Amino acid sequence: MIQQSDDFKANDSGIATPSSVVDWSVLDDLKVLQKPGKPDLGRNLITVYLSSLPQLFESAKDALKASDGEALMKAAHSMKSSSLAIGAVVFGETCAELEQLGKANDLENTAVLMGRAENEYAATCSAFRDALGQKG
Amino acid sequence: MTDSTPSKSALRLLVAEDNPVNSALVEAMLDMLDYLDVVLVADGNAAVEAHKEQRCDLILMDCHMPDMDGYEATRAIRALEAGAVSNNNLQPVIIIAMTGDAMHDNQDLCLEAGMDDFLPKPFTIHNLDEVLQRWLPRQA
Repeated sequence: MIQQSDDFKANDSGIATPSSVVDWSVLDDLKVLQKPGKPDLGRNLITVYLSSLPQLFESAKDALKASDGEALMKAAHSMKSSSLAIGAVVFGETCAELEQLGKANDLENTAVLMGRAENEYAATCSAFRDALGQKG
Repeated sequence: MTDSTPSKSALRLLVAEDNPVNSALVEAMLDMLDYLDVVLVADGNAAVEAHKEQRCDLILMDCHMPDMDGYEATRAIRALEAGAVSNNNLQPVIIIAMTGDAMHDNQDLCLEAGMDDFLPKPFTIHNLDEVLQRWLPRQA
């Protein structure tokens, strides 16, 4: 089973930390999809998430470097969708903002947002690795 | 269900979804709903090929996928069905759009492409069950 970290709570400092970036109740709610005797769904989803995110995040960074709004929108959309589906709400919301900027091809002011995304991405991956009992 | 309705396990469902987390979630939902014959693909081309080869009863089609999107894949499948004599009588398959954009014009695009219904994302197992129940009894 997943080792549940601290409950999701807003972080007063505004800095993403592993204990503040995941709403664990989302994964809790997915327990209704767990069939007896089947591999742990939560662990499976986290594993799939951790294996698919690095490529998407690189795509988003590449898109920004290339000033390619559409590519940024697509990568951010996919990261948003995955993140919100498993409770990575803080990073997911930032991805939603990146998606909108990509859609509007408004890339001039994305550096700050991308920096925030990077911080949240690292904290999210760390939280999920902790939950899986991995070092990371 | 009536006796003439095939059991869920006799139905083959195709899920075309490029997002691996969403794909795993839909697979888990279908498993929980006892749909046991589920084929997963990650782009439109693979969806068209999988349906040609495996004759699915229903397709859950993500609209936005790389290479060939869900709209184009649906049009390709409908074109194959229209030429059914030369394609071993490929019968019309039920295609349900999984769309993250609930705007009406997006739904219009789904219907214009030849999809039968749509399931706005994010959806719950209950939403999915409802849309499957709406369409699959017609397979009887």
